[in-house]
Amino acid sequence: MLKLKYNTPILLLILVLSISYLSFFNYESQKKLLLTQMKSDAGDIVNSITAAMIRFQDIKSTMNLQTLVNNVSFGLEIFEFRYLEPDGIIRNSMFKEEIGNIYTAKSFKQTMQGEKNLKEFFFETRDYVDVMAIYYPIYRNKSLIGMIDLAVDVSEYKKIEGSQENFALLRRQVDIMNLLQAIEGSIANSLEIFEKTDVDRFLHAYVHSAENIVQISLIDVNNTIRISSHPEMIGKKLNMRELPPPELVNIEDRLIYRTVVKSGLLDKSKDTQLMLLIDASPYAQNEQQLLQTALVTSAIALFFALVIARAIYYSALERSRSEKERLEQLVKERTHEIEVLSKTDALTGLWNRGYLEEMLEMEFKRAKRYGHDISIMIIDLDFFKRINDTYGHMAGDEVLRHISKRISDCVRETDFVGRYGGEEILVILPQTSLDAAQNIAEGIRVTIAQQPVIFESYTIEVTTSIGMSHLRQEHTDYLTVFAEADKALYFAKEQGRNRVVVFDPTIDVG
Amino acid sequence: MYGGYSERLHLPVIIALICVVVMFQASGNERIQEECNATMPPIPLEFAMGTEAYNEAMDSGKYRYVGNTKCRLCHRKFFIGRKKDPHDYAMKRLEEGGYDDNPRCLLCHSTGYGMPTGFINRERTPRLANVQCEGCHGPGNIHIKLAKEKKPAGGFLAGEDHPERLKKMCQSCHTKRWNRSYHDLHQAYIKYRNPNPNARRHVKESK
Ligand code: HEC
Ligand code: HEC
Ligand code: HEC
Ligand code: HEC
Repeated sequence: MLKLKYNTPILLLILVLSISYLSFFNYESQKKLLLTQMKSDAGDIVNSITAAMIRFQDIKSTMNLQTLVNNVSFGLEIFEFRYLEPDGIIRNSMFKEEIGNIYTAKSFKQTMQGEKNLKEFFFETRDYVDVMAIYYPIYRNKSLIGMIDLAVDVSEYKKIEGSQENFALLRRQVDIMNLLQAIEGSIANSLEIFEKTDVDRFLHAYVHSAENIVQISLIDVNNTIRISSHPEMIGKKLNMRELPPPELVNIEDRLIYRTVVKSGLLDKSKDTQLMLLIDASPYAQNEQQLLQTALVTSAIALFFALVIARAIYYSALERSRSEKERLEQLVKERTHEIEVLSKTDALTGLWNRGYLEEMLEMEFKRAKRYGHDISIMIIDLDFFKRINDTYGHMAGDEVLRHISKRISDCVRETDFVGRYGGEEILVILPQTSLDAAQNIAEGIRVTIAQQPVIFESYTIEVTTSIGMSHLRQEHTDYLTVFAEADKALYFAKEQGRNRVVVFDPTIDVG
Repeated sequence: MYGGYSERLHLPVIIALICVVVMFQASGNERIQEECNATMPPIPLEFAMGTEAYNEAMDSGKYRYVGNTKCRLCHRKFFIGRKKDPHDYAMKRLEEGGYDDNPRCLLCHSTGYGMPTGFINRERTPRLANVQCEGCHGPGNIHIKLAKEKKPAGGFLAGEDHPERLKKMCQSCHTKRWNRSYHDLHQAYIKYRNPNPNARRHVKESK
């Protein structure tokens, strides 16, 4: 009982908790899986965009006279050749690896600060080599859009004359100027073509071709959107200090997966970033479904646990109640049995002698007090010893039991029938006149005499002698009455047995 | 009197000083003198390749020296690193002693002297002075042509295709007489895998 009471709920609780935990664990891991899926999707998209952008910039580069640069630097004795934007970004260079970087040469800074003039030759050392260089400006619509940085190795000229103003050098300068003017025209041309092809439109087209991409933007070092598939976004400044981790955000009631990755697309030296927004609603749906499943699983587990707990509780209650009842019943029966056992005769089931005497005394007292009649009869089996000897004790016992039963059947419920001695049976008949009692006695005698007792294969004829008496005025206790009945019985035996004799003071017993 | 004494004292000191300077000069110039009296040293690449292979390569007319500024386009780190290397001052050493037009000396102190398209003199071939890239690796034009097309470029007469030749190149200049540069050829050789062979950290020997 105790075990059931405390262990089962704990077990159930653990069960529910573990089922819930399992379902939520499942939910979490599935969620993670989905997120990784999203992440790798995003990665794929970023890769393809980057590839496309690089391709785009390659086209751009070619238009920016990559071949010319190569030809110029290989064919003519040119030491360095770059195309710079006014902010110093190297748009093109004979050194492929520095394209996109910011040009940091001291002379360039000085030129941009106005300390040196554009379109004027000067001398400096680059990579341990003495060079003559020039920053040649390119204008469009009267605004500076870029410049060519060109340098030639002049170590040998300096060796020859020891002077920078020598004739050979001047001739070289004229040559270079002619070359630069030619390049200027072709750069202006290519820039025009280039401007017609704009990156924003390219990105826009890209976004439209891919269903779930919402937006692609390139963010520069200052967190300003420089290029975007959504032109209205260009120029907007984002407030993010560092690369935020990929996350799910809600934008205009739409669940969007946002990822920002480093990209060297705008400017190789700086951490420009590529921001990618992907529609995450399919993901959200999936996630919701998963969550629901997890919740339902937990709820069902909880429900079943409750039902089981309730059932167990009630059955336990029921069992304890019936157990109690059973016990009570048992106790009652036992006490009764003990009670009955102490009052009855084991063989015949009739009252025993002790009880009979108690009853005699009680009933006699009562009868005397209320002035009622009371009669008694003593029934004795005739020749009982002979039965025992002839058929055995078992037969004797059987006869006794049989006779007792018949006697009980013949009397009323209110009468007491008891075994007084070996084969003597006493019947107390309260509130019964002697006449009535005599009738009953006669009835008993006849019934017994008429029906022999069948024991195994024997048919045993039994007769009884009955002595009777009843309470009269002069009696003070039951003993006298009993003695009278006994005397009458004795007389009946003397008279030849199988008869009823009522005490009469005149009878004389020898 | 005193002045005379001091004059007499001065003289031996001056003589001694001159002796010391001459001795030093002699010890510095000893090898140069030896070199001047010795037989003409071989052209380093010929020595490294063997006369037969060398002649075949030169007769084909395919190989040309281009100068290290061309290499700089793709090997800028090497270019900068080698600018700090003594090989880049080899011509300066000759100029200091006025030997910069001595053909013997130029064989070991310039790039491709005595070879078609190699160094002639500072006026005509200013970009092939000193022991440049091609001074060790051999003419570079074929390499550049190949490098523009494919990745492991090759194309050198004494490049990675022929590592034994490159080592022999070192030996051709660093003879018994000119052997103060290193004690262990292999160690010195390994150092030159690094763009800057004189940098503190060197590429570990892997082979
Ligand atoms: C157009 C670019 C380019 C130019 C110009 C160039 N190289 Fe190379 N070089 C390469 C490439 C590419 C490789 C191969 C690197 C690799 O395999 O990773 C290479 C490899 C080498 C190697 C090692 C391989 C070998 O065959 O020994 C040497 C040495 C070398 N270059 C020397 C030079 C020299 C000297 C010059 C100038 C004469 C030069 N390169 C000019 C691109 C170039
Ligand atoms: C066989 C090649 C070879 C020839 C020929 C040669 N040198 Fe050198 N030279 C070297 C090498 C290698 C070194 C560096 C190693 C050393 O100093 O031992 C060197 C170093 C020097 C140095 C600097 C070191 C020092 O001792 O002062 C001078 C100066 C010099 N050479 C001058 C000459 C002159 C002058 C000639 C011509 C007469 C000449 N060399 C011919 C290979 C050569
Ligand atoms: C003193 C001789 C010498 C000179 C001068 C020299 N190199 Fe080399 N170079 C070497 C040696 C030695 C190696 C190592 C080859 C090997 O790995 O077996 C080497 C290797 C290289 C390599 C291949 C490096 C690698 O990672 O395997 C390149 C590229 C190269 N040199 C370029 C140059 C360039 C460019 C120059 C001129 C700026 C130059 N070298 C000048 C001797 C030289
Ligand atoms: C064309 C001739 C030539 C070849 C080939 C050559 N060297 Fe040298 N090397 C010189 C000369 C000349 C010097 C002396 C330069 C100076 O002191 O100005 C020198 C100097 C050196 C030094 C001395 C640096 C110092 O700190 O004094 C080393 C080390 C060296 N060479 C290694 C090599 C190795 C290794 C190779 C082969 C890969 C090689 N050299 C190939 C001519 C050559």
